[in-house]
Amino acid sequence: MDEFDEIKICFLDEAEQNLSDTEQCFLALERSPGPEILEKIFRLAHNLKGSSKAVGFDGLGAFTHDLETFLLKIKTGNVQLQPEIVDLLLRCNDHLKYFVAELRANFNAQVNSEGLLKEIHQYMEGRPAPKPVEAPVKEAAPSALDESLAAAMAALENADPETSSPSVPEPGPEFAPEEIVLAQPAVSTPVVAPAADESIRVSLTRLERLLNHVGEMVILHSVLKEQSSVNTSAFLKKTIHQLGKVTREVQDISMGLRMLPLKPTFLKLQRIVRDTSRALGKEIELEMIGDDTELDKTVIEKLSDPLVHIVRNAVDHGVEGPEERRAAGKVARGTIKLKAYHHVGQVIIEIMDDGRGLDARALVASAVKKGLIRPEAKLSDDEAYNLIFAPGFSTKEAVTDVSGRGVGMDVVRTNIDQLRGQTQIETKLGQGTCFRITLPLTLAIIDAMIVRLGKERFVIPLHHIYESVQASEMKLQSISGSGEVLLLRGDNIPFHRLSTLLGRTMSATSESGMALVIRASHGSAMAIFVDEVVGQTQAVIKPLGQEVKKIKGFSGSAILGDGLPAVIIDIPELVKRLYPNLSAASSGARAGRSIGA
Amino acid sequence: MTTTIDQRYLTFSLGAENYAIPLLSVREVIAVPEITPMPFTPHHFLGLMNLRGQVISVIDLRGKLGIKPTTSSENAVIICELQSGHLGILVDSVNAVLTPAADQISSPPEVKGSLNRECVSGVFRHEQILILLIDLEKTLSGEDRKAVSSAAAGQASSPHKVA
Amino acid sequence: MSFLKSFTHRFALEPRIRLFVFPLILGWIFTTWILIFQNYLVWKTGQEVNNGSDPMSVLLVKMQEIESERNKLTEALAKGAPKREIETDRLQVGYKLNAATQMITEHAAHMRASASRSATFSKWLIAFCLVVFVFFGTIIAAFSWYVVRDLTLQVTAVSNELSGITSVTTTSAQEVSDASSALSSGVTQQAAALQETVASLEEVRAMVNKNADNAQKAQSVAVESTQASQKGKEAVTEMIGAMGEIQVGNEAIQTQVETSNSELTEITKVIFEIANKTKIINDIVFQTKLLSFNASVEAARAGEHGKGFAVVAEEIGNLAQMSGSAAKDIGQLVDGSIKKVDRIIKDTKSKVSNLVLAGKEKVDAGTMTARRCNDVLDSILKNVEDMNQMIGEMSTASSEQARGVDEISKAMNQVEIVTQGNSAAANQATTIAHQLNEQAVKMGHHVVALQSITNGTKGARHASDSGDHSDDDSEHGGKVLPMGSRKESKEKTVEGTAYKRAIGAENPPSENDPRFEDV
Repeated sequence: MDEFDEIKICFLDEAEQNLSDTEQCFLALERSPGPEILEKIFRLAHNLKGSSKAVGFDGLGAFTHDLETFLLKIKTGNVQLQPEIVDLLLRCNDHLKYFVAELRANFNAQVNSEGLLKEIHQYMEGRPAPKPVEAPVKEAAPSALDESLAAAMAALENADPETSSPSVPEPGPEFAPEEIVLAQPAVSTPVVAPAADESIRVSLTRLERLLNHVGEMVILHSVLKEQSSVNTSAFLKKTIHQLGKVTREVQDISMGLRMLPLKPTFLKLQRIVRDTSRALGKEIELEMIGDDTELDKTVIEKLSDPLVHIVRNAVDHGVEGPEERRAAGKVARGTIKLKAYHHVGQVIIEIMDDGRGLDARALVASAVKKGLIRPEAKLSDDEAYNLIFAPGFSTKEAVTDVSGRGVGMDVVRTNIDQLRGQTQIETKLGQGTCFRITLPLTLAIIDAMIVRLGKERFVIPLHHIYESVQASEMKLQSISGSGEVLLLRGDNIPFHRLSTLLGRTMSATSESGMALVIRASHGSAMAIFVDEVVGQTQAVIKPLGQEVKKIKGFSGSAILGDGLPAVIIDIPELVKRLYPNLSAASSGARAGRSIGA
Repeated sequence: MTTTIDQRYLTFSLGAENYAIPLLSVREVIAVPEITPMPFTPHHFLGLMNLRGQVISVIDLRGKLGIKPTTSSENAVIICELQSGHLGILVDSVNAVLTPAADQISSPPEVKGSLNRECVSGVFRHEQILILLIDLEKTLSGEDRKAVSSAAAGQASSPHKVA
Repeated sequence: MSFLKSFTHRFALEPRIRLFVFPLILGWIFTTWILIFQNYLVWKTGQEVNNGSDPMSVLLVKMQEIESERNKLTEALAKGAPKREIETDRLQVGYKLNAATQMITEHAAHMRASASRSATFSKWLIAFCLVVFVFFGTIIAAFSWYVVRDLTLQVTAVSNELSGITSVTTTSAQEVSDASSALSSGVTQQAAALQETVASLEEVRAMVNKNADNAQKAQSVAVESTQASQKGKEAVTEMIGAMGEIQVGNEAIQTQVETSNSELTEITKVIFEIANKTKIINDIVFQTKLLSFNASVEAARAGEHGKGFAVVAEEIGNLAQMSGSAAKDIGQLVDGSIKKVDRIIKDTKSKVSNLVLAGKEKVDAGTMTARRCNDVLDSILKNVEDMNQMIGEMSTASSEQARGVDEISKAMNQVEIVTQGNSAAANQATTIAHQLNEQAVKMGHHVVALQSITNGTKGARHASDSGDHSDDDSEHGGKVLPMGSRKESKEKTVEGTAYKRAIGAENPPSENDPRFEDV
């Protein structure tokens, strides 16, 4: 019984993969129909039918069988390809996905495919297109189509909040929670190969274990390296050095194992844009740039929902309707650009629309109305924009199915926080908005600098560090009320002592020591004074426990070469923590306080 | 807590008092390792340790429960598995593994202050010694949340600033 | 050149002789030449005659030829030769005859010329020779007369001087004789004194040698003393050494005790090690206890399957417990042992220390006494050294004395030899004086003779010139002048003074000396 279950699970995985392929194909079909695409779709469907029957999913098999017939008819040209047909096909695809998801949960699940089947038959018999799909409003009379659509949507929506109880039943002990994924095509576990390499499916648990061990190997190698610097033979040192190189390679490869391109996610977004824009009666095109940018699987998983939210918001709130656009002198068809690229050890994903842009005043007004901020509060534009991340915030009057529940954006922020990323908003009223998400590239291993303060050691991620200045060459100046600044090539850089930031007593000697100039990404520079820069290392990031996770300023822990753990400090956060008034505007902090409580 | 198998408990001493935790929530027991302290943590939060590549926070349970610490060669750290992950607790000494029958366990008396009342989920007697059963989740979460949030309060969770 | 010089010196009248001689020589040469020439001519003629080249011979030949021609002609005629031939022959004869006649004529003329020439030549030559001879003859006569006169004068002068010299010589001889006899006597005295000196010198030498011997003896005695002192010192040093060894022995004892103590400390260390190991065991016990707990945990996780393992875990815990208590016992025992060992070490250490200290003091005292002995011996040694040195000096002085005496002796010998030499010389001087005297007498005789010759030829005039010498000579004939008288010639005062000075005579008698009376 167990082995058979495995086969079923295997099939389900494969089916998901296939279904994502088919969805892609359907979308392509809409844009540029061609015989090859049809052929591909047909083949995929055929495979699906065969396999599902083989493993015993008869219901699925039956549905697929009908779908296949339909596709055949389309291929041979008996049925003309119209947008509605593509619609239907997509819906069928969704249905299948739903079905597969159900089957995952329960191998004996049954799903009502009646509605779709009827439609399919209608088309096959040459009946005119049924009534167009209306905007899926919850109040509308649920037809079978709507139901399935709603179900699909619901399924999608349900996937959003990670913190809410996952609608995932406890699987057997072999299947770790990560492997269970809802009807989201983006997540599958094959080993990703950029070209048409042969690929193999690997269970995520194994990968996790491998990565854990790789991480430990890196640590052990660091320890070994540190120990070898103390009177060992040259041969041993050489061997350790080589070991380091091999370890690095293994590390890179194994980190890469978890990396998946953003393409599927983008494609999903494409689908969403299409559906949503159709539903709302807007013409919006989704442009994808850098969809082959790779991210860690977990990151993609966690990123999926935020991206969906943002895109949906863009479609819903951001881009105007065709008439409004024309009135504003814009092209009727709106564009949402999805751009992903690597930059200095980070991945940056931008969602740009050429829509209305954010209205700071409207946001403020809305916030006041919701009671999130005091009426007399003065917010800068930036702070106003950030209001949208506040939980419970929404300027939309009506709660649409798509958005409006006000749950979306703060979840976005939370998710991205959890990924140790940052969100930024750039907007221009009337011209468009850009959401920028910055994520660290590797979760696990970073290049970092070890600094010493007194007897304690701390780790600073290397890509934060911009420059270093020796204590003897520091030129400090005191500014009353704002602390000290470091004069560096004409710039006044805010100067902080790490001891002060961490609440320790200042060390006696300030002759020795080093000032590190930290530059947060897209942020201002600041200088931190430490007692000593011990050295550079590759640190395996271990997440901090729940108890201390919430402390701002510590982004994780790393195990140093001598086996002792050290805290990874995030300097900008530390500074913000200690001097909330110092960065940007003070009022923002106050606003934040009232929001966050 | 009635299960088919009698629950086994690991007993340990904190000061003059004896406590016990379910054996299943124990991952490991080790001698006191080198602990790296962390700033901005409450007093009983000893810091981080490295357990075969895993970074685990260590808490002094004595501090938490307000018991005076005694340093002895028997001090040990019990690595517990909690919902939120692994956590190490420093105890004065680890004593034994006991399997009290379900009926031997009684509800805690209203003796101590409110501090400990939440944490203790039961007591049982073993060879004239009173052993208190601790619910670690409750003990740690409540306190920690307060402590951590107070530590985090210094930052006042402002939203991310735009450049 | 020297020969030439002596040659010219021989002749006192050099310029005159030369004038005389040269012409003589020239004349001789000339004469000779002429003679030779004449002879040559004769010879030449003779030669010509001999080889037939003189004109006569030629003529003769020619005549013979004519003769032969004539004969030939005759024959021819006789034979009846052709006329032509006969004519030719006749012509030829005729020609030859003419030639011959010519030749004879020529020759005759030639002979006549030459005869007249030679006659003229001879005449002139004879005249010339005669003149030359007369001239030179005159010159020669004049010069020879002159020369003879000069010679006579000079000889007379010389002979007078010689006479004077003779007398001086005689006087000197006499003086020398006196001096030498005085020298002789003096020398004899000297010799006698010398003998005495030598004798006393011998005595001194004997004493010096004796001194040297004594010094030697003293030195050897000193050496013996030194050796004895050295031996004494060695003995003392040995004693010090022996004391030192005692000290060393004491210290060795102490060291040994310390070694034993340190070994005991080692034992303590070992015990500490045991204690450490016990500590390690305690740690292991602790770890084992933890391990048993961990095992229980794992066993609990394994659920049903872990039951057996749980029992094992318990047992491990028990074992750990037992090990723990055993380790504790060991620990206590170890502590006790350590304390005991420490105590033993401390006691031993202090006791031995005291004993060693006492020993050391005694040894120190002994050493000090020994050192004092050493010092005394040292001073003795030093004195002996000094004495030795002085003896050495004495010895040296004596030997030097001896050497000095030797030298004096040698000198004395030399003096004696010299004295003897002197004596001999004196004698010899006397003898020679006598001889000299004799010779002087002889010379006087000869002088007289010489004077008589010169005076004889010149007559009385010269006799006055010779002075009293010749008179004396002639009077006394070969009589030896008495020694001691000093005769001088008036003329030769100055020269005589020179001679006198050479001999060493006093002032010459004055002109008015009665001895000059006779002249």
